Amino acid sequence: MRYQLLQIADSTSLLQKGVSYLDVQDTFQLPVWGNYSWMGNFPVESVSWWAQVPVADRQLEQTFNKLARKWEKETAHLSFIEQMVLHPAYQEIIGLGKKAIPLILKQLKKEPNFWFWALRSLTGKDPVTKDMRGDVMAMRKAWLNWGKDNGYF
Amino acid sequence: MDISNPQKFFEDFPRLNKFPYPFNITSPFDVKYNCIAWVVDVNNRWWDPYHVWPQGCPRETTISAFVQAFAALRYEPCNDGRRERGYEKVALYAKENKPMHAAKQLINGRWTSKLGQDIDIEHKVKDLEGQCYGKVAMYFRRPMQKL
Repeated sequence: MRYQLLQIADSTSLLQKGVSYLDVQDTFQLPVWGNYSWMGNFPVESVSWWAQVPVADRQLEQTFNKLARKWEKETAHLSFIEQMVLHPAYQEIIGLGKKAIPLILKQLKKEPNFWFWALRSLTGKDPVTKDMRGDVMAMRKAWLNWGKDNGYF
Repeated sequence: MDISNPQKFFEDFPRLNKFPYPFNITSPFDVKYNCIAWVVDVNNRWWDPYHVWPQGCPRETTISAFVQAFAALRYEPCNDGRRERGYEKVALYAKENKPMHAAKQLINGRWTSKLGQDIDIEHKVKDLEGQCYGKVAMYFRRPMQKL
């Protein structure tokens, strides 16, 4: 299992050292109770300060990012959702399967876009209610809440 | 206001790539609305057959579905995009018989378009024709609403 470091309370965080992932067998040092002279070794699973979200491997992430950039660039002027989701890069993203769900949610959190169709297709769920249709910000919020409720954030 | 990706912009709309530019940017990139929303004066919803759409109209991206949707908004087909006193007009662009875009006529006879998620521009109706939106397939008109 691999964990993504989202947040560490201490200012000497691993994030600041450029570490963004830990594997389950990793341990790391942190000051105990804020006392910098007493450092302790912690197994990664003992810490609840970050969300322990399993993340897709880096290669998948790179593939996703490349396809997402291509899709965003090439569909920016398209007027209707049907044309946007039929774009080959979008279809390839759906083809990545369920492993792409955390990456899509992460991208949606970063900026609003029409990831809803892919999420619905990959999860089999649709948290968007009828009154939210067409309201991109409300649709985004509904999916981000769904992601939170289902352990993706 | 700037064009975020000029290379892609002029690739999609080559007729706009002359100097001086034959268009004005009237609002920035905004994912919250599209061209049909813009035609009906909405700037916080995405209007298309899969989102907001007039009740009872077919939810499909076909010219006949769009004709019915415009009819529900009191637009009727008309012959051309010439300015007609007392009417507001819409141009529907299509490629391979598929609706691709709609633009709305302004009082000065020029046209205004929301380009997908990108910017709004004021332009000549034929200047958006090309690989991205195809050609103007139909014009519609409705009596101008009194304020």
